[in-house]
Amino acid sequence: MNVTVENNRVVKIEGVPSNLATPEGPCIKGLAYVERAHSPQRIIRPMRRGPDGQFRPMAWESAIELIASRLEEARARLGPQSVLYYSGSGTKGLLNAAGMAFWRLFGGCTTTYGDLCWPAGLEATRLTLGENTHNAPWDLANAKLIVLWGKNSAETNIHQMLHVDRALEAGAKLVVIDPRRTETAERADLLLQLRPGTDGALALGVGHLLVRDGHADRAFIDTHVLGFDDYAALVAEWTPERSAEVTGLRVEQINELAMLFATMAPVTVSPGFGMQRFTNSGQAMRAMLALLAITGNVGKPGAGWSYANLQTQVFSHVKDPTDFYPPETPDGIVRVSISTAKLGRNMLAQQDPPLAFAWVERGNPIPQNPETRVVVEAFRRLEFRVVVDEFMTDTAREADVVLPAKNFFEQTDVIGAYWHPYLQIRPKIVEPPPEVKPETEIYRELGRHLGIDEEKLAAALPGPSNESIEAWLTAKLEKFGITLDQLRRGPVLSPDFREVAFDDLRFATPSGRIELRSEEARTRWGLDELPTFREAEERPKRGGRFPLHMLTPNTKNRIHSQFGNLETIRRMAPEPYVAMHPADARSRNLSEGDRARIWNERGLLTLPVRFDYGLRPGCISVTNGFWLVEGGAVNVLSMGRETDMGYGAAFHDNAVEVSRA
Amino acid sequence: MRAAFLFDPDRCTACEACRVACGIENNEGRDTGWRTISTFNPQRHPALPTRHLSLACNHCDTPACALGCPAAAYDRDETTGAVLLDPEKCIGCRYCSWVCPYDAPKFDDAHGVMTKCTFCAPRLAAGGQPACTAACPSGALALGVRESDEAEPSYYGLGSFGLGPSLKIEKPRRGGPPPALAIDELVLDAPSQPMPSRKITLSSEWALLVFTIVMPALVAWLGGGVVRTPRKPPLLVFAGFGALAMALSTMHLGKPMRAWRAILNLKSSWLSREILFTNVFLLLGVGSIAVPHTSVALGTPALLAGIALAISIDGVYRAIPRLHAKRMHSAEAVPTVAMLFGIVAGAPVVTIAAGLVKGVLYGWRWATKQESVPEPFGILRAALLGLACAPTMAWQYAFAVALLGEIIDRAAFYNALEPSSPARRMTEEART
Repeated sequence: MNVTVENNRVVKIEGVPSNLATPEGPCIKGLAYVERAHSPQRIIRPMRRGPDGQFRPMAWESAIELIASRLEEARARLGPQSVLYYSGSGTKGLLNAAGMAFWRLFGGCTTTYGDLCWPAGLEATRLTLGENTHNAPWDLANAKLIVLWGKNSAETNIHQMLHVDRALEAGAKLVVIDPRRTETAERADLLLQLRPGTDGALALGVGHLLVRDGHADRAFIDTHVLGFDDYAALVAEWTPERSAEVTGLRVEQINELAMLFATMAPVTVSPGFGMQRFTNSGQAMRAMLALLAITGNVGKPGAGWSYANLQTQVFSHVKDPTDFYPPETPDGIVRVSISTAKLGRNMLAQQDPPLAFAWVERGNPIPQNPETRVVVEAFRRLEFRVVVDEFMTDTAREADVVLPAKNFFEQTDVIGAYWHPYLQIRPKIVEPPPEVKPETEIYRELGRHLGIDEEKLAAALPGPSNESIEAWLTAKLEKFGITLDQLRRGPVLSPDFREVAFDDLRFATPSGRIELRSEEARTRWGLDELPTFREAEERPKRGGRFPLHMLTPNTKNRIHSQFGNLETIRRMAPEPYVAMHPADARSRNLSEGDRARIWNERGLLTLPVRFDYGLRPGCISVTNGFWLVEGGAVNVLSMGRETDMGYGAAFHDNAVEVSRA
Repeated sequence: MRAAFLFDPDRCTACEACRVACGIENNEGRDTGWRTISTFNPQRHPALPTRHLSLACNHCDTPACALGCPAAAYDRDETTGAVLLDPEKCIGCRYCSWVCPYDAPKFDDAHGVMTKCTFCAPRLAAGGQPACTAACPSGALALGVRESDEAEPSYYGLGSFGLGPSLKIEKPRRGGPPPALAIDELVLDAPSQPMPSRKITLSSEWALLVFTIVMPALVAWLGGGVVRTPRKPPLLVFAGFGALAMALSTMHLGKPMRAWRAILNLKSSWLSREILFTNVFLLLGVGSIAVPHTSVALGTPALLAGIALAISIDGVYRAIPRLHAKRMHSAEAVPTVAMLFGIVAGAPVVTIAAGLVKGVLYGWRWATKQESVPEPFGILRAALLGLACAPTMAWQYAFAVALLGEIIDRAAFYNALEPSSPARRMTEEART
């Protein structure tokens, strides 16, 4: 984005037309940075929690001294691995790496593996296609059939909608598969509101029809696909009737989707992240990928699988998702022993040494990781907690010391993306408030107090000046022949950019082909080699205690728990609510505006009801990202549970009951 | 040819970036309220599509705001075509926000004046586009041009107002809801979302209720006194109530000190005319009472000014766009003046004729269930009307009885008065 600064204040944010993926304006979160950058709520000096629970400002010197002494004490008594280093993705810059570099100098730490966001899908894609890359975002305009599978791009990837609309203008068809009639679904030629967690069964049913009716692209399959015969045998059992029974759809809807796959080309399937947050969703994603493979919709313009585009992830040797898997041989320094999905339970279970200290940066795990109650308990059991953040989040409120975080206007960095293929610079354009230091500087000062060798610190962390940050970044860019000046002129296509992914039809899988049958699915994850369907572990059962499916989708108004505290956003979304189908609400004696209790064995939320005729009956929906202090933290209800592959969090395996408050 | 907002319903996702961008451009990042996003069928009723409309000021060829503004605070910027409001001239009467069918002018509580979209005229003049269209991430809102004879856009929440708005709306690719067969047909009721909150309420407009009751009463009383001199109002009563009505309506303004500006737009504003005729009527009326032997000489022109005042009062409210077809209301000022005048002047024919008109209008409203007044008040009002028309009482009592009935009816008039904004029209359309 183009940012205008006047008197050290961000006053305007506009789009950059030369980014072909996002040629129009920024989304509202981007625009909201005008407020966020200078929000009066921002933490602008270190804060110490007193015995009364209130936070009071403290001097940097004493904050660093206190933290260093607690770290030294924990290291001496229990060893460095008694320190938990928890980091989220923050603003995704290359300088994010500074944190782990410091903790290695400290002597080690304990950290997490897996990821909350998208690992099951990444792993399914990696197992099938070999890597996570897709056609350029603007290539979507060439598609004749677009399937947004569990994806609400209109809210969560608004810039994709421009390309969807271009395709529709040119006569393409749009299918949306979602239990909710979302804003995106409004444009659909076919909306399939399936039972949550049954995407795999739908994909297998469609596969059945494509194979049965001879719509499989034999020539493509013979050369580029591994395991087709086994796959054909698997889908032979998935008649449309069986698929309809499992998914709660009608046979004719499954026929219609199969017909579209059979008759329209090219086809792009763009799955969302929400649909892969089930305990069976890695396998479901593989079954969905198979539909593209058997119809030859890979490696062509307008065709393919548009899930994650890691073309800009060029700076490390290991890409997502394998870079967040625990190492096969632990190095004895960094203990990677805590599943992000099971953060609370795993923190409590750590032994030799147990955890005593936590350092949290760029994340807000208390409301955002599953099973909030246990996560809170795990943090409260620790002896000392440091949180680095811009705002007093739920997690910061649990800290002993909160350190102010810079925002992305206040330190130069280079960023990639996970959808578009551009590398971009984020130059320092604003001086941070006087007592705000970037993480690199926090670590440097802490390192000095801990007696870490100055030279080692200098090698691991760039210096404080903008020149030394730029030199550090320049060194990272050097091997690609990209300069900071080039980036300053505008977005630069990544060296790994390919307009059409897999256009050479080479796949980085063990067989070099698209693998419908994956040995690694069995050896690494203990799953079937074929993308078989099994029901999610937790789901509502008719007549059971928890008969409603709880969905916790994202909204246009926030990025998870960020932005909701700003006036810009609060005006649009002042408070959390539960969306219910009027039939489900009325049978519980609830009307629009009534307060409802949403509960299961893990927790309780009390929220006002809003009618949504567009929800599949039996499902309720509360957007995630509201804070505990707002009474809307949805993860008090979710279970700390991993997805079937990729160490993701199965947030949507979540059954609840609702009653009048 | 004129610059115009282009809106594509297929591309709009109601993300509100346009509204946020407006605040960044025009209000240091805080919401201006100038642009609003309304949604048709927000509950996603299966029988209907869900569509949005992002709307600010349409900088109309015939701007209702400027025509209605009594203070001549509006002007057109000839370079860009933008209809602009000068906050230094605005008296804060809010009337423009009542007459604009697009709900574009907004009242700024902090400053006591109206504010509205400027079309980002400085950006436009510099060859750029407004902040809202520039910010739209999905290409739904854009800047374009339109011809002067272009048809008015037809879309949810819009009507045919004949104002020549600078707004073009693409026809959606599909009219209906997305085909979704998954869910067994449930027995569904009509969408039940509540109406957006009201801009005008009886409690917010009580000063206007007082004004529109007191002034017709004074006109009728003074007029009756022209015919029957002994019945003319006492000076203190007439001047006292006149001053009270004027004071209340002045204090009702956001900028009372600028009240004098209210007569600057006699050419097109009924409100301006109302204020002018009020002043003329009160001056002549006071004169006719205070100066001996001028009951007829000054009283007659005063009565004529009073009739013009009553017509102006009704004109002010006729110009407000309504959700349902506008029909004559039984509490309008002209029949009220006539009925009360008949009582004072001892002309039962006039009273009964006006009373009949009122009775029929009132009964029809009651019968078609448009009345939102609690039933006891309704019955009382009907009884008072009947009693006032029966020539059995001394005129003073009949006048008081009739006036009490009119107060109830006029209160009901304000209670039901609500300009039809796009959001209200959308809600109504989804319900029917």
